[in-house]
Amino acid sequence: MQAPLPTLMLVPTGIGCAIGGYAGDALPAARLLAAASGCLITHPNVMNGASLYWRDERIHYVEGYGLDRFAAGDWGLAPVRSQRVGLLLDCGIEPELKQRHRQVADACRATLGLSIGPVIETDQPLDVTLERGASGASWGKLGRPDALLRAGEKLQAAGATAIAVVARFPDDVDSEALEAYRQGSGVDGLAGAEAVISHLLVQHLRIPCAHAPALSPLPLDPDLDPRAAAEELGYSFLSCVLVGLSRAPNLITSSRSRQLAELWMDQVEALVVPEGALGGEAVLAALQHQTPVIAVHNPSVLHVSSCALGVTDTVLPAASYAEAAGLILALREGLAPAALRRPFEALS
Amino acid sequence: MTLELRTLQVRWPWPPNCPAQRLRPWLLERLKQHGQPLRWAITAVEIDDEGQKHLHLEAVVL
Repeated sequence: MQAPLPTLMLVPTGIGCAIGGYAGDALPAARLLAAASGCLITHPNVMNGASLYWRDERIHYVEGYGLDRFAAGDWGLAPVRSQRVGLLLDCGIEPELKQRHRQVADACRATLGLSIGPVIETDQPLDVTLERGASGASWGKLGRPDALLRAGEKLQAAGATAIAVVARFPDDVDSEALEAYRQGSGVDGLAGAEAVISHLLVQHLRIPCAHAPALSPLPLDPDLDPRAAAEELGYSFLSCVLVGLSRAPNLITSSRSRQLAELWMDQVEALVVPEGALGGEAVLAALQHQTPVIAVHNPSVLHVSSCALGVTDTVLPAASYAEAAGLILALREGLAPAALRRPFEALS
Repeated sequence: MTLELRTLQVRWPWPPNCPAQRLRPWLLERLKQHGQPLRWAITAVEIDDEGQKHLHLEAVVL
């Protein structure tokens, strides 16, 4: 097998992708792309399946803000043996639910051997609100970003090298949007606000961070879609975050000379993204730097396609993640993807 | 520390002389007029009756 072909895989959060718009349901595709490429950089929305997770030495877990900076060439990634994951709890979480999350952290220490701690609570409730953009994508905000950052700073000062944050999200049990999501036809209404929380922490602290929402358990839904089922296995979505962060690469944010094991965007040889989601910062950065982009058929609420952006000549289409994996393998083997398609034009 | 997060939804004409490969720096410059961009994306590309392309963006800025 040829040397790894570093590949970036994106499934933007909160846009209702058929694959990856639910509870870590892009994980099988990520595992396939990791096998094809030998080195996959992707983000929590792809890897996090609430109580379910998968660890693969070839997959690098990088939060979205860090991933955008990586794709822009501003930051690099340095693989590590392990991270000390600090736990940041929103003080707005009810005591019993908070205790459940502390127990998840203890379970990950005892059963998986992860290095977790300390645990710090915010000095004010974070006051998360959920929003929906005109596109249908989920967004959100928090009323007290300053409280989040203060708690993050304390954790970092106390020795945490990565941060798992759990914020109390509004329960939305009776909403039609939640029902649609659980039944496999809607957008994850929490995802946009989750991304904002983790983006804010990573931007400020420049260490790996990821988020899990704290919610009251939902009543049983007999029509639950399998893609959303991982979120209904337990009391929290935290374990996947702790596992992901436990070996997340460090973010190299200074301009010192590169070390051998580091990854930088100029080493990335392919970016895989849903075909309608080419308007994100990381994809635009890849287009800017002429990194090959593979656009996979993966319907969502967005339609920012290669055609809409006028880049059909530079973006490789793939009908599925299986085809995208084939294209990655072709690139890894030094095969021109055009040789695998028909019609095959003569040189002019 | 006083911090406020704001959500933005904007529609900007896409300059004909700015190919997709150069959109990122152009958009960042425009977004910075509203605050420090935290998370943003082009969420639609629309062509009006006169053939002018418009970019719809959704964003959270600080």
